[in-house]
Amino acid sequence: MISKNLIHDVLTAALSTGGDFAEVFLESTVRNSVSVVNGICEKSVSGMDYGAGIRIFNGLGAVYVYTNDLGAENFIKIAKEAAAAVSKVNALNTVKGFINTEIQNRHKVVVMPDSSQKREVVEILKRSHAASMEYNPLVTQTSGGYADVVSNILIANSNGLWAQDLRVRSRASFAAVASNESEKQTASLGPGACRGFEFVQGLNPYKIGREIAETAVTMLKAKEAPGGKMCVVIENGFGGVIFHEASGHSLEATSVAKNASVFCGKMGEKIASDKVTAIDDATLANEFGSINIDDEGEITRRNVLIENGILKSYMVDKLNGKRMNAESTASARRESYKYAPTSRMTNTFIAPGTDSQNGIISSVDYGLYAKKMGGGSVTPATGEFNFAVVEGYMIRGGKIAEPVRGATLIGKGSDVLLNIDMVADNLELAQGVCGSESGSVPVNVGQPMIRVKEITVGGKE
Amino acid sequence: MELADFKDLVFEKAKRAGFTDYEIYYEKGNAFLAKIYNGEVKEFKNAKSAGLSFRGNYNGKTGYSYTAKIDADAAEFLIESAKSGAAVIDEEKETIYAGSEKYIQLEDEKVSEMPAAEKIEKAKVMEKAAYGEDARIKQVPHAAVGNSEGEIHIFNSAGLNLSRKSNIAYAYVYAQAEENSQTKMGWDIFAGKDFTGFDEVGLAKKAVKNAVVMLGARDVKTGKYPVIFENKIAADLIAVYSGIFFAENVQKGFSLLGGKIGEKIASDIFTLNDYALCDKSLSQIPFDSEGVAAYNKAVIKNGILETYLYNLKSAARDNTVSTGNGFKGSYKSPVTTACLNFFVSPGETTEDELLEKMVDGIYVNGLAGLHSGTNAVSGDFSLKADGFIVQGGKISYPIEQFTVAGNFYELIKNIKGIADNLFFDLPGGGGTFGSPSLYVGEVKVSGGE
Repeated sequence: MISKNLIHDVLTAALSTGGDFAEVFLESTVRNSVSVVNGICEKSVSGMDYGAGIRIFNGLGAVYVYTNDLGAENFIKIAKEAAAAVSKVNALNTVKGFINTEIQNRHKVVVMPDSSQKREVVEILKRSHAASMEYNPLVTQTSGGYADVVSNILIANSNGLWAQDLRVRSRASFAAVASNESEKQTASLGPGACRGFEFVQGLNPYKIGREIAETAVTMLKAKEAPGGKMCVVIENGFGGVIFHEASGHSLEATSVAKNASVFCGKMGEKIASDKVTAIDDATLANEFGSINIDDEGEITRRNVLIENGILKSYMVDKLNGKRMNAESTASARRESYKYAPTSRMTNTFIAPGTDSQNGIISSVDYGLYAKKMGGGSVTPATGEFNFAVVEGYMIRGGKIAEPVRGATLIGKGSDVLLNIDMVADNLELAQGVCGSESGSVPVNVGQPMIRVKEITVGGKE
Repeated sequence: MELADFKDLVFEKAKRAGFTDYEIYYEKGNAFLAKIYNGEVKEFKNAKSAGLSFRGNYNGKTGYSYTAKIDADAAEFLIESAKSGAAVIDEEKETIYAGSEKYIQLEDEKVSEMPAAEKIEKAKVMEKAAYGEDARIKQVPHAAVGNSEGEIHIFNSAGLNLSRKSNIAYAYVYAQAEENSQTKMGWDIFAGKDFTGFDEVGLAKKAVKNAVVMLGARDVKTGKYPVIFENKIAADLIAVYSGIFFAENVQKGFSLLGGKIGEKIASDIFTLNDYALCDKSLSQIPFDSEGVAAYNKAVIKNGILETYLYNLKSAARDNTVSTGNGFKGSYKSPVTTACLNFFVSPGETTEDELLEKMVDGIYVNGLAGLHSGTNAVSGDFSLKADGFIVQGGKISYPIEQFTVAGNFYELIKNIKGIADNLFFDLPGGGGTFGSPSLYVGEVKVSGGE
């Protein structure tokens, strides 16, 4: 997409004032999206993103600049401007000869996304709309969306790294609203994968439309959730957002290197119950959070973060690795060339355990069964997290009882990990978009059904 | 290729391809940010970017496309993909607008520049001051100084040719206090058109104060409590629920305010405005992304719903005129609806008087999970909070690990008092939001005690 000579010149300009290391991240991305509201196709957008970011390491600091004018003159000028911000006067480093990184593509695409597929996509979204509306007259509105991304990326650095990859992702989203005279309840699903057009073609819009309609109607009839501390069973799939928020962010070098994480200095120590093994694995074939190389050009791998309760690894990028004296775990990610990379999650999940789902439910005399979770957030420094339960039921006498709505779970990550006392065997992953310092990146969360002995439930009753 | 030449090329291609009306929306920006950590520049960012979008009507439907690359191939891509996009649209085409009669004329802003080295120095001073202020400050995870400038141009086949510029300078600092194995984070932010009035030491001191006052936070008992939301928090809550006032959401059934114009939907003392210009806000918005002139208006006046917020399309559907609220999130997004300066009118009592009025209850100064714990359709919220117990009309002690749960539609009906301390957030994609501190009556609180 751009000549090696030009990139060499850009990196040389970037190192011209004594920087330790320089890197270029270049992308050329095409996106298509459509939105269908109440069965009517309202919006259709196609676009082209193009640009490059240059990063220079300067001791433990970094300079980052970006531009979308990649003509030789401007590109080198921008690199020189970045170099001007380097304050250290080191011996000048030179740019080593480029060696191509061999990439094994684990995420095979059958049909490349293309704007001409929009008609079929719209039909799929309309079928889900029809299924939701047919399910129950209480369903009053629906919305559906679709987005695909085809991104050509190049990462080159002054150590001679030259890595190119093609990233393809597709995602659809479906929502149904159920209403009575005074209230509205929404339910949604957002399946996605590192696949091409075959992914949406493989979805079952009828089933999805009915499933979200059922949840919305159930929640419309539900009473307000009770508040206070209680035992909570969290279902598999998107339930894994609890690990993502409660612990995942606090295990990123982004906060660990700044000493702003509750898990700093805890390597090799017990931070979770024996039942908890947690993994971040970017190599899972075609999964939404997967990448062949990270955004610093490192080949990705499977990182075991916690094994039987013991902290085994943080997620580390090169710069934070330098700050905390640790090797990269190929965890550097960024939304686009507009962001400097930092350590982020990919597909992060709690590994399957040995408890049975029935055994978990029947063990609870009074508590909450969180069947579907919504999003959440965390302050890594304190480990305080929160997330929303979008479909919940009370558990009474070991049985799932009436539905409840409006519940939020809050707590501290360090406490909740120790309070996970049962883990089932039904691991499932679910898709999400995670926002943090380096922008919004696609991720999977996941877990089997788990039981949390005690956690604060925020409800209205 | 120059923008003017590119525009001519795209318009010529659009005409030849059979588009009846078309428009180019161009955005350009520069952004600077320096972050200090342990006395060193941890992050230095200097960015220049530009991009543009095309929308055009083809066979009575509107197609959208965008590009960050400006060359002949990109022109071809814009036209072809907008055309294939228009082919799947069911909705009526959008209006390519010829222009309003009159626009607010903004004076040319004199913004004083500050060299990068000086900004870095100020961030360093800020970090040092935060550490120096209190021995319990163990970390200053963020000390940052930045500024950005932006430019927007709209050209269309109906003859519209508009542009505007914006500037913002800001600084923020986060301080982390530790005591008795409890960690609390405090922060504060400065924002202005430029750095005039930026007091780096004062800002650091405030962030430190915000952290240390939360030390010793205790649990709170589950129950119903009278609550005051601090102005910053109230502004966040107003922002989350601003979409219920958008005509397009009302029309599609995503708001419960359908058919409520002229009805009382809030407390008598509650007035909610949407202004093109407002003294305390950094946003000055003469026109929206469709080129419609923006103006000052009340959305709720003394509890009565006065209007929805309209773009050209939602206005046509209700046989009315646009309120100048048709916005794109960025050049890449299609036109939807957004707010201008959207704020609650301040009252006449001070915050202290508001506390005295409440006597006993909870003062909430932190909310987390606004993107997940709120339902924009039902109005329900259940959010993790931080705050203080209020006893006898005075702040008593800090509390943590609790949630506040309620419903926005109910909340605005129950407002019992409004302070005089109107605060505006930084301008964002959905508008600029402001509020004074609000005494909202009883709210359900779930805590760990």
